[in-house]
Amino acid sequence: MLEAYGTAIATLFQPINLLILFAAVIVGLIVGVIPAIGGLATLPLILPFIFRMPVEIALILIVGFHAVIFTSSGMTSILLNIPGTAPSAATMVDGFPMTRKGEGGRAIGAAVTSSMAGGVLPVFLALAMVPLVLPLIIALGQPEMAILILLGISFLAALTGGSAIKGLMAGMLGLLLSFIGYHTITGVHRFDFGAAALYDGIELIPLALGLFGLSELFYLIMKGETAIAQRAIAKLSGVMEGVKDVWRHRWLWFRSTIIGYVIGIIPGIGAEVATWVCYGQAKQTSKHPEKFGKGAVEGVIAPEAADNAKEAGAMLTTMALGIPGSSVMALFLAAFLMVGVTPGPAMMVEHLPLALTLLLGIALANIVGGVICLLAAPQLARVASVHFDFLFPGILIVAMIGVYVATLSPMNFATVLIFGIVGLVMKLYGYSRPALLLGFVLGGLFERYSLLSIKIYGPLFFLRPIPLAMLIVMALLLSYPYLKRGITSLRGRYSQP
Amino acid sequence: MINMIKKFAVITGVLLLVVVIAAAGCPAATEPTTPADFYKGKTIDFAVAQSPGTCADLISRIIASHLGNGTGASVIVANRAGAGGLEGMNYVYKARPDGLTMGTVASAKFVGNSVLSDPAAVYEIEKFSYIISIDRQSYYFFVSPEGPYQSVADLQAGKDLKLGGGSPSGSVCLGGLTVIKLLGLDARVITGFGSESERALAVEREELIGYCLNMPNARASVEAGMVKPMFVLATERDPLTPDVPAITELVSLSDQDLALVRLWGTALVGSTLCIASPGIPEDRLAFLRDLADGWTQDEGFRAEIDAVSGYEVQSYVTGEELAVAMLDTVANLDDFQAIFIELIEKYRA
Repeated sequence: MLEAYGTAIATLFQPINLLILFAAVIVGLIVGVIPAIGGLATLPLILPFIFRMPVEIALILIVGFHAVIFTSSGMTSILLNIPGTAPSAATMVDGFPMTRKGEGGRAIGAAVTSSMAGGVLPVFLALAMVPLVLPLIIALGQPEMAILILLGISFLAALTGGSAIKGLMAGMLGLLLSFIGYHTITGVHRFDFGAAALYDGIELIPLALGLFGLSELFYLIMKGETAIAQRAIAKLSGVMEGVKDVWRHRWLWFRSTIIGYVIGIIPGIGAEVATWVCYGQAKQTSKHPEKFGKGAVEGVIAPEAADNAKEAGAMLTTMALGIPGSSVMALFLAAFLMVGVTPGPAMMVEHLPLALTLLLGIALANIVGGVICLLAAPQLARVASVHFDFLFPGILIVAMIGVYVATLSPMNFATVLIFGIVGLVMKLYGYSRPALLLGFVLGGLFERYSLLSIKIYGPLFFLRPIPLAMLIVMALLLSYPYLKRGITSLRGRYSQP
Repeated sequence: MINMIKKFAVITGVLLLVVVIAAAGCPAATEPTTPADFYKGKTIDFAVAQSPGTCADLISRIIASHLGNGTGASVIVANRAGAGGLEGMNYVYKARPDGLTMGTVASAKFVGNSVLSDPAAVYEIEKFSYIISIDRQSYYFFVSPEGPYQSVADLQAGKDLKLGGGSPSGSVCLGGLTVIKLLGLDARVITGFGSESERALAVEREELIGYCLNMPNARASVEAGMVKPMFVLATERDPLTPDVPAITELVSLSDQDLALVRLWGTALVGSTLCIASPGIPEDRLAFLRDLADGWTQDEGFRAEIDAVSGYEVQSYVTGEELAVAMLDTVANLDDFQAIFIELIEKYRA
């Protein structure tokens, strides 16, 4: 084993491999920071080039590129209220308010550090976890997935903002919107009015871009403001404060990393589930839940840790078991096969030095990517103070190009605009936009897994041991703040003389 | 100094405007005389009706790369996999007949939509311009290597069995329905599994007893030891897996059932079809077909196809042969349509 580690380190630190890794990290960071464009849109462009490359170089290129996309994708969420990738949408809820308060640098510092560390820890967990991964995946069938997603949906309560009724209404609207399009279980076309553009439903990225990014800009302009933040702290000290925040909330970071990692290794569960579940648990367990949604740094740390940990978990499952959990991971698997390496348990034995090289490559890519982002953060944070006359057209053009490249559908321009207006109305009348987004993201997944569960296990699927245990944990988690309050009040009553 | 910059900007702007107007308004100096000249410097819009990362997607990208080299055109590849690939199929069908919109489709889904008369499929398969077909992957029935169903007799003795499907009108679902009919199983096909790994894991968890799929797409699951092939849905064994029997070796079938199995050996196979929009000029179609025939002789091209397929691909069908085969398929569509619609009503959960 030690010999394999030695070989892996020697391979990774060859100048050409380091150079490739560095270049891949730079490209990955750029891809992550461009709104709407993620690995799914860009990995297919890289694949044709790796055919004739040596195996190590080809795979280091792919691994390095993909490992850091989520490190930088939180930046646009924080600075512009525009998600770089779909899972980073959860970061907007508290990241953007921090920018408005002039704490953009601190938010980026916290996001990047949390994300970087969240990507590194799973690598070191990986080898210990490999024997446990398959039994865990096997244990989580359709009913368990349905309940896990229900747990995510239950966090709607944590995202309702001021009015619970309005929050739930927004969440329900999100659920309804998620039902549009071709139903993958029954084959029925729902609510698409015969329009081909709606066969696959509404796309997440244009919806999120409109609902948050565009509507926020409309709102600020309506209010007569000239920039996102009147003062954007553009000093490294502000960024370092964010780094320290991660240390202050290290247990939250650790919990979110583990949750993200576990969700990441489960095939078929949406990447967005990880970030929203972690955001929800951060609020549920916080001493100051009232600060969430108004710029709480914990609301940035939790989803960012989960985002990268989830991706590291998915990559490791693909490599160690040959089971791709998402479309991006299917591309990843294809890249391995194209260069003649078959991922799976045999790879961890027959190609152990290569597997270790890639694992260490993921860790190194995260560190390099994180350091680059931290160094660039003070300058990037200045974006928040750019005058709207320049910022608005710039954002609009880049976002629209991103939407088109990612979805190839001009119809999505209309989606961005429509949800920009919907988002503005919601903001003006106090309806929670994160609740709508959460309902939209998880509604389709919950419907699919619950229907599959009913077809396989019958309508009482939730009475199986693991789902039942999960439901009990969920009930405890949701009632935790009330229980805590009750216990404190009882203590107070009985401790009085 | 500022005046100079202003003047420079105005002059540059006027010049640019003149160039743009000239480029837009003037006809080309010379009309291309041959298809080879026509394609040089043009842009080909190449729609892949498959999700990124699938075997067919990778094959499509190899085709696109060689198409660009062979024509001198820029080939823009885009995955249009919406609604189970219908988006890409409809897109190519509705494109202008100039030979600049092409794409790839998975044969089984492409034909399956016509078999089921999917209302969202606006195309007629016999009207496309066919360039080449790559590979001919038979469909297998996969089961758990250690589960209770290791033979046809085990399956026939089982009650309320559950087979996995993907899209409700997709080839995985239709394959499962075919197996139920041919073996006379007490079973249903459960659709809605998003990916191959989800289906294989459901078999591993014993939520499903098996499913139909072609070998390249199931390869990762087979190599991970989650599933194994029980038989091939064809009248003969697949040279790729000589040890796996054909279904006809395991059960005796009626003439109608045999015709159904043959459909799985012809039109409903896992092939990647390269197509162009209907009605493109004959000389351009002939040029594209000659180009594609050349690829099949090119060792580099074949090596790339073999690399992404995971084995040596033997079957390359020319555009002319493919067009004839599609006409044959269309001639028999009505018979199969009735069978599959009945199977869906009876056995799809």
